[in-house]
Amino acid sequence: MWKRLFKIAVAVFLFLTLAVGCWQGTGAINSKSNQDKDVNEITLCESWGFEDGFPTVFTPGQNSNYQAAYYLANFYETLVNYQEGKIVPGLAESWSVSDNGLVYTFTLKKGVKFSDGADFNAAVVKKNLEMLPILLGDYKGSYENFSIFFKEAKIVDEHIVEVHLTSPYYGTLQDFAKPMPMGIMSPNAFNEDGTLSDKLLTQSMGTGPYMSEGQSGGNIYTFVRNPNYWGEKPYVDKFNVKVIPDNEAKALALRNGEIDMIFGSAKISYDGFKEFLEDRRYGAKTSDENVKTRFLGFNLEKEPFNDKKVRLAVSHVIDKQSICTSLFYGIETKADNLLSKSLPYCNIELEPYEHDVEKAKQLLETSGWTDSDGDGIREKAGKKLGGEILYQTGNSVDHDLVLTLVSSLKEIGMEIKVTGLDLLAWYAEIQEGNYTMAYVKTYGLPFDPYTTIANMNSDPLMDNSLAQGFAHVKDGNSIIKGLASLVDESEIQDKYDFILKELHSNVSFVPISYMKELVVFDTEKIADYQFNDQPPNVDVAGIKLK
Amino acid sequence: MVKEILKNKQAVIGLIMMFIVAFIAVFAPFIAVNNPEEISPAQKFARFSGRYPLGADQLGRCIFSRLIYGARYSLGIAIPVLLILAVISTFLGTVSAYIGGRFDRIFSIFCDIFMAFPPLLVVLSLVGALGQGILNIMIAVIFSMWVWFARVIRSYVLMEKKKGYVTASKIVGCSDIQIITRHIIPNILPAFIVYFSTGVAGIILMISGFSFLGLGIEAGVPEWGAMLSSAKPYLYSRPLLLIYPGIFILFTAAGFNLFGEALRDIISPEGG
Repeated sequence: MWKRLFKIAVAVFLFLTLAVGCWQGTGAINSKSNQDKDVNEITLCESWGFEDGFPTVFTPGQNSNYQAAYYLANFYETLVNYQEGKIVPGLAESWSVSDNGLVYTFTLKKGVKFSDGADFNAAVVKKNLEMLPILLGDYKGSYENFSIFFKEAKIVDEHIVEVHLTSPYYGTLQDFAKPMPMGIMSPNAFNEDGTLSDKLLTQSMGTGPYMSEGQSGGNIYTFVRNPNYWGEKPYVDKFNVKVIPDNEAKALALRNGEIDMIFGSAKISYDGFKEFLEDRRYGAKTSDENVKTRFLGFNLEKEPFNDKKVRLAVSHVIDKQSICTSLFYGIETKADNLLSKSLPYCNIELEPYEHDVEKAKQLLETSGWTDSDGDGIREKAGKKLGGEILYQTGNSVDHDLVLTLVSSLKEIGMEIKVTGLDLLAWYAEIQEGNYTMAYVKTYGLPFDPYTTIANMNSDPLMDNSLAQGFAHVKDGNSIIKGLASLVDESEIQDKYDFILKELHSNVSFVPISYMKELVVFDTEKIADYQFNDQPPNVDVAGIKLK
Repeated sequence: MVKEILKNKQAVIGLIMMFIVAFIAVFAPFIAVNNPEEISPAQKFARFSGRYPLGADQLGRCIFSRLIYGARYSLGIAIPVLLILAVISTFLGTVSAYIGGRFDRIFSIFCDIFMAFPPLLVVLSLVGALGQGILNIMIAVIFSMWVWFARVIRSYVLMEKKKGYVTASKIVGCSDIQIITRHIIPNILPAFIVYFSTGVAGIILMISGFSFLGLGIEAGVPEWGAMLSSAKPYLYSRPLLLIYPGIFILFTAAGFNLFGEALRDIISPEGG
């Protein structure tokens, strides 16, 4: 009797659990489809939440991750924009630069309002610029160099503002195009003492097409159209960002309709991307523009890579084309220049070091490296030809690439170990010079080429993996420093020609491939996505709905 | 004893499984069809074929050959670790229990302190300090595990110490070293073998677990745990990449466990 009762109780319990599960499931779907009828709403995903709100300045001192940095272009606008290597108008209709490069005069757009209702004018720009060095604190110069040279901002009239620098800086306008940290915030975003208002924790206060509506359910952030937006209305009325830390879970969420889009190469593997690309129900796109360069850097002070012939041999043995086709499924393209030709000042013809294993072997022979004991590894004066590649752990594509490089180097009798470290340990080892080779990526748009070139200066040493590459040039540091304050465009170009050619002829780096930005979306809802001019920025206004 | 083992089905199954894994490990170069570390990007995810009996992984490496060589890493790490653990813990555990008194109390406190740290934490910090490398992971595992083994030995010795034969040997004038090596250790040996043979499985799982987390084993080494870890991104698209090393780990650990437990039943049936 009791046994039977128990069985019935278990059955009822199981049935109830099932019913509750199903009921919740359909409830969620119903609520989603109801919303769909009224407004054009889509859902994106991110690996972390936006607990630090929506200011335009995020620093490692205060924030543990990038927070909303890649979403800022939806809420904030900059005085100028970057488009295919050129600077185009943004919140400033036009601008002029004084002959000595010290004064930038911006004529601002009229009739622009912030999402909180405040007016956009010269006083707001002045306030934003004056607060920038304070908000950046110790990280002044980390995301831009403008704040280092900034002297003062003067209001000429309500819509004209003059920005004075202490010394000319050739990347000033490029800096002005970075949503982080140069997006213009409403005057209400600041407290009276200049610190940021707590309102920014839940609200965005910019002139961009969208604004934050707050957080719901703990892990969903909702954004709606900015009613005061001056420009063309974007397709999407409302978008949500759901926090899903794991990349596999993100792909699954897209498959089961929980989200409509995965944005960014950090959130989807190439294998995942390829699967979606082959599936008709999904759209998968890569940016036209190159975003970053993957490259190998050498420690030029250590054997055996202090020998140019050895570096050249490494350059010739790596089959970049095959890496791009098989490992990267053709998503990335072969890189011969450290900085992509599409970047400002970087369109320079260099003769590539093509894949040629025989030539690589020959180079090593002439340099005295021979395999005398027949173990497949070359020696010279009793020393084996080898070293290590330091790389950052955590990304499976990086891991696979490094192993492929090592296997190519073995072909020419080089014994290379791989050492994977987490970001901070990796950086520390490189700064200390405890490496022979390092697998690195450039900073990417919009930091290339300015920051990448600037960090080739070794005093102060910001990035040893870059500084090593230019250390052989006499007065190298003063050349890099001098470049920053040049005004004449042709002089700047000459300096770039010199630097990039020198890096190439010295084989300071082995560029491998140019990375692209990725996006995958559900074609039932989204027709297309137009990448932002700075492709790493998530740009909801670029989404076209069905 | 051998007869008893052969009579026990569980022990025979375990023994056969252990033998298979050991055979694979020893004869890996003859069984494997390819070099397990050879990368050929063009063969990425190649299908089953004569050249690649279980296909190729994301770097075009032969999965079958990697699994075969993986046995060398699992056993090649677990068994030396176990032997060293056995020597260290037997020495310390026996000496501490035999001397007794204040020395034993201090040793116990010391053990308690060590046992308060989870092995994962100890290994994490040691690998962090020593760096990656098979030798370092072995040191780290020994360092984090010796105390658990030493404690067990200590309690066995404590039990034996009180028995009549030890007192008898003392009376006839045997030296302490003679008593320990000739009388106590031979008497605790069966229990000791059982404890260590079940420990092998634990250590194999532990090493695979650490290399899954990226601790200790260098990139590219065909260790089963590391293979599981590098196959993680293909969980949905190519689940077999995860299933194969999983089966090998399961098979090896199960073999050692089955044998160890059967041995325990044979040697000390009352404790079962």
